[in-house]
Amino acid sequence: MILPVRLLDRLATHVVRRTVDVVLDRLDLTRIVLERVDVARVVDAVDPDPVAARVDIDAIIARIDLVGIAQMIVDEIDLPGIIRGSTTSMASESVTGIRLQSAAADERLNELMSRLKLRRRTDARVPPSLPAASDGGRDAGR
Amino acid sequence: MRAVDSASDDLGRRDPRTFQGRRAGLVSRVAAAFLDVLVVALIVTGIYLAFVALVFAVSPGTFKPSTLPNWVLIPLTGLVALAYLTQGWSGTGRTYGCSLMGLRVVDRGGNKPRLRRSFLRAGAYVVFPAGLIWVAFSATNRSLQDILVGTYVVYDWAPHEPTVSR
Repeated sequence: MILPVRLLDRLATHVVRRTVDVVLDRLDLTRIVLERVDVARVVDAVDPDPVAARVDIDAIIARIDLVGIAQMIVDEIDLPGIIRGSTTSMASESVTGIRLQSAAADERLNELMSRLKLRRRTDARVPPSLPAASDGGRDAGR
Repeated sequence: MRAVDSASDDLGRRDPRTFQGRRAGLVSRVAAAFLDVLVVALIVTGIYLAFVALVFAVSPGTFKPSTLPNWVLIPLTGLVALAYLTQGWSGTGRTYGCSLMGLRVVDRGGNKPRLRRSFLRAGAYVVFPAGLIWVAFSATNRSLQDILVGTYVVYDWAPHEPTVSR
């Protein structure tokens, strides 16, 4: 009596395995999971800390070419060019500032000398641009 | 009169281009001259150091560093200044100091002075640098050297544009 039971049990196991295999082969489990499983909820339920604690970060970093990556980024964004450009811009602004202040001081000094009657007053609104032929005579008379 | 005052008050806020071609005043020119003095001092120092290095290389055993005597230093400085100023004015109309302060030396035609005029101007500045002060008294912002050799100094902040506008 025992023998047929075992035989039946083995037979059933075999049939079930085959059946499951055939069924699984015909199903697109990935699609089913994507359509029917709320992956976000599953991910939320997973605690990543124990997994992260087991990761050997040093080993990962050791395998990355950080210098190469940094060099690639610097090449891509042209960092030396940006630094050069900003430095040049700052220097240029400083020079312009100094020139403006000097020119303003020139005008104030001219104005002061004119008020003190030490210099003939000239109209600051009119750019003399090119020296006129008569200019030499004005200075010669002083 | 009021127009002159208001124009003067507006100077600090003005666009730098409004100065283009106008005659430069004493402050800008003294600043440029000061920078040129520094350049000449650097050149003279370089010549002195080169001379000392040469002496050391020729006779290291008897080498003893010493300062230049005045009868060498003064003529040397004068010659360096003469060459430096002449080259700057005749070459581009600017020395280094002029370039930094945005100034340019021009002749009556608005062009850079020729070699002879530049040389005379440089000589006048080397012999009597105090002539620059006359800019403050001149209604046309000219130094005694400018009057002597027929030159003017104008603001020229845009090196690639025409020096002056007619």
